[in-house]
Amino acid sequence: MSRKARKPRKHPRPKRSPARRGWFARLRRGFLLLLVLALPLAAGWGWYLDQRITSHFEGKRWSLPAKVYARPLELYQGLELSAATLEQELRAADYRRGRGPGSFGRDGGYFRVETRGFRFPDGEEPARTLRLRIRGGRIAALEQPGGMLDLARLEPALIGSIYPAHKEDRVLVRLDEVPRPLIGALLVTEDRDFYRHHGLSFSGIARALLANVRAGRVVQGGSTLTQQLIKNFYLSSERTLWRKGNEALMALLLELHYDKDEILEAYLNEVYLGQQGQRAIHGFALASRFYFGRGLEVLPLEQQALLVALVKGPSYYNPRSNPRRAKARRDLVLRMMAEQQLISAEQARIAQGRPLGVVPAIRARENAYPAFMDLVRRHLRRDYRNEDLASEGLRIFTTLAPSVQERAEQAVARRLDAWGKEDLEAAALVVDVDAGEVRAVVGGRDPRYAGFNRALDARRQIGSLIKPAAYLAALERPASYGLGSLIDDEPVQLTDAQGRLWAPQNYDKQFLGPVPLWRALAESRNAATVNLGLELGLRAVVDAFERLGGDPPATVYPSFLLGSVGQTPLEVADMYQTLASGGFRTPLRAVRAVMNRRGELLNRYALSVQRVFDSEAVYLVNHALRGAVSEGTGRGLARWLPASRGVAGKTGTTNDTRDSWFAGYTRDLLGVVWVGRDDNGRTGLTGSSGALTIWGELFAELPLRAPRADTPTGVETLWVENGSGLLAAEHCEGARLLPYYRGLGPAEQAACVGERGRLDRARDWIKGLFE
Amino acid sequence: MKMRRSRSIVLLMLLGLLAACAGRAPAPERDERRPVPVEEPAPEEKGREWPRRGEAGEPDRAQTPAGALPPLPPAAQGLAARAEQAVAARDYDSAAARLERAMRIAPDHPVLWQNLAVVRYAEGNYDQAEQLAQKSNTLAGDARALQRQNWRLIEAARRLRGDTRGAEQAAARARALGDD
Repeated sequence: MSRKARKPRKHPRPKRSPARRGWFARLRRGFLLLLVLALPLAAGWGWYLDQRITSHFEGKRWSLPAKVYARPLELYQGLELSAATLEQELRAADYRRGRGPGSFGRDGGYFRVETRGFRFPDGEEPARTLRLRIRGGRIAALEQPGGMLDLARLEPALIGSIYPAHKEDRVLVRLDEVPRPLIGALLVTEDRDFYRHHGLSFSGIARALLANVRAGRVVQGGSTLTQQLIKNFYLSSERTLWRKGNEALMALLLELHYDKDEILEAYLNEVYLGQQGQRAIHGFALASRFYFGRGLEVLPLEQQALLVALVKGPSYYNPRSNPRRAKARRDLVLRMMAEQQLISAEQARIAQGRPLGVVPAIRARENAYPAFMDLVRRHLRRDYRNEDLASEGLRIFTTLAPSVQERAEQAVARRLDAWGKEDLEAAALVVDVDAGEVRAVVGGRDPRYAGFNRALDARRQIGSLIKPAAYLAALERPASYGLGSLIDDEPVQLTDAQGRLWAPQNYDKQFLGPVPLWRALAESRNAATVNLGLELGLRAVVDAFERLGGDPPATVYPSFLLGSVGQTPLEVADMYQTLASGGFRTPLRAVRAVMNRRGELLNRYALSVQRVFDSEAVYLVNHALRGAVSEGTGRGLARWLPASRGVAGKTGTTNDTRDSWFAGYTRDLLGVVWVGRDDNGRTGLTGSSGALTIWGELFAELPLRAPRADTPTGVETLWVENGSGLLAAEHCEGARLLPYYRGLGPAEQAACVGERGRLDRARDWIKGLFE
Repeated sequence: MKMRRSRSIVLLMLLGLLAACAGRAPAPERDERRPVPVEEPAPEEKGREWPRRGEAGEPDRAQTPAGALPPLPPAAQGLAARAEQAVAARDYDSAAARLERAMRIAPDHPVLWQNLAVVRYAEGNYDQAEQLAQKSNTLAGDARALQRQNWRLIEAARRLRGDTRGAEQAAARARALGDD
């Protein structure tokens, strides 16, 4: 910023005059006294104004809100994607049907998508026209003019901004990025002498006066752009002489310090051009996006003229609510441009004949996904100060998938409506299993409500969701436990720290006696789980719980085994992510990267993994949890998803149905749902009648990868007899295929194995006779 | 000194591996026909022959011979190749970003996890190098060569962290998987 050497001189130089008699002398003395007193005051005031101006201009001129983006949709052949989901993602990224950058066309499963191009933290994505075909829930073909394409990505949806308190929004432009006709139109209509005056224009005032007298009303303001800029920067809109005076003084000071182009550039970025709810639209670049859905650099003449027309009164000339007024003003701007020979009369005539071209207002995004934004803010709090987030114009690339988020919100709303209970609340999270990226967060019944975020802050007892910890602790000891091992589903009585008796019941009030381990987990047997946990020792179970990612209490009682521990849905997601990803903990992430306003990378939040369990042990637990969905407490899911999706999951219900939980996962996505009341009252819903149904409704609509067919190298699958836990064979009655650590299956064979062996030998012998 | 030398030797070996693995999948066939006009698809276009690159979908593990890795999908393959360029330019951050992007496309392809392990190793993050190599191994099926390389990487990472015993165990695991 260049600063001119001239400084305003404000040193008073009072002179002592000889004393004289008479009223004239007294008056003169009084006047001088006043001057002596007033001049330093005026100088001080002038200095103060000068300081304000220069500090404003020298420092950061504007606080730019951080822009928060969803994850971009990647497109490639083979991607699981339905046509409906693609359309949803396109709309989230502000694509419209039609032509030109940012548009798409669709005919059934055939899409044409014209991308706008985007600068990502890991490189530039060019603007191009894509054609793709969706068939059978997948992208069957992807191409661009000239041939096939391996990979493309859409621009990410803008999902919010982090504003300072006053909610000003703008997109900065440099002077040379603003089309010349727009600047011409601005100068013609607002300040013809801009490049000649020193901040105030007397001829401008005279011309405005004349025009106003002629029209009989105010049609022109006499303020220069410099004055308008000052007004926008500092002053309220009250019309007093004092304010006018200050404005004039500051305009002169501003002109002393800065050159015309700097002032003009500031004006182009500062001018107020519209309002959307609480969000104030400042500057021509943002106004262009706001009204026309595209950048300044591609606006045709008539749209440039409309933006200039708005300077006079963004609400009075609002083209959305007052299109006629807006058009009349725009046409006037065009006529003035022609009169001043900025454009030809012919150009003006053509432009005047065009429609306004304003696009429907995009819904205000700053509050679109408050629960997810909350998670983003918490994530960023580690590395950024709040005021920087609201002022530095950062670009924050998050992990949210708009289509998943919207479906999660809908599933929560639909089920809560179906239950019809006013004060029933819910929370939901969806996480990408391998990357640990959070795809969706629902914090309550009203997804637009930015208050209490249950997904992150409701710490509620998790009930049976804790059970996999005990079974993991057992299966990690493969020499002692396998999925077929029998455990006792028998009554158990314990005394707690306060000397009270604790006798856990099963949900069906029955005790089954010895049951195979997989079944105890799949059917969520309380008594069996407590017996297993006590056999292993509480410490072993707490240890497994902690490694999963759980946060155990300081003192642990046996009731811990049945989930008498409070966790938030986010913490539960953290734990189940460890199971879903095969025993590797991955810190959940909501942010991929942060760029500064110049497009330089500031931070990247990289994937990291930590092996916390043998993948074999986790594979076995997941097998039992798939059993829970196919034939145990989660079998209600069959209403929504076919068994072929390979869902593993666990229900949880706490005492008197106060909390209803379901945590479930497929090969690529994990979902955690909680249903309950804020006052911790009864819901009348179990894990399967409550949370599971939301989960089912949500996952039924998500594009999911097919489950993996193979087993880990360290695992073998064996026939095991249900009632005894002994090694069996296919022909044995009540035998079941179960995965075991390789070489660590049941040591003894069931009796039926040998019987079949004799039968086989007899059959071979008979066969041999005939060959 | 000795430590540093062994580190660079392993690194060289592994960078070669990165290239080898990323390039293993067959190159996609290019469509040689006339450029496709980019127009609003007309209804009759539905019957038009679209370019094919095999059936879209998951690589079928059952059809790959034992010990062989399924091919990387072309979308991930391009990213892995660009990650390799970034590694050559010592731009590990970009390399990791590209590999993570590839992993979102092919999340259980063990080669991508191994490549990321190599990137972490190259930038001196030995703990993540080991963890990622472990993850690669859990996805490796019976691709013994890949597993052996992972154990070699783990061995080197452990040695550089000063865990001599752990390194020897890893070396034994690598040897058990066959000759280098």
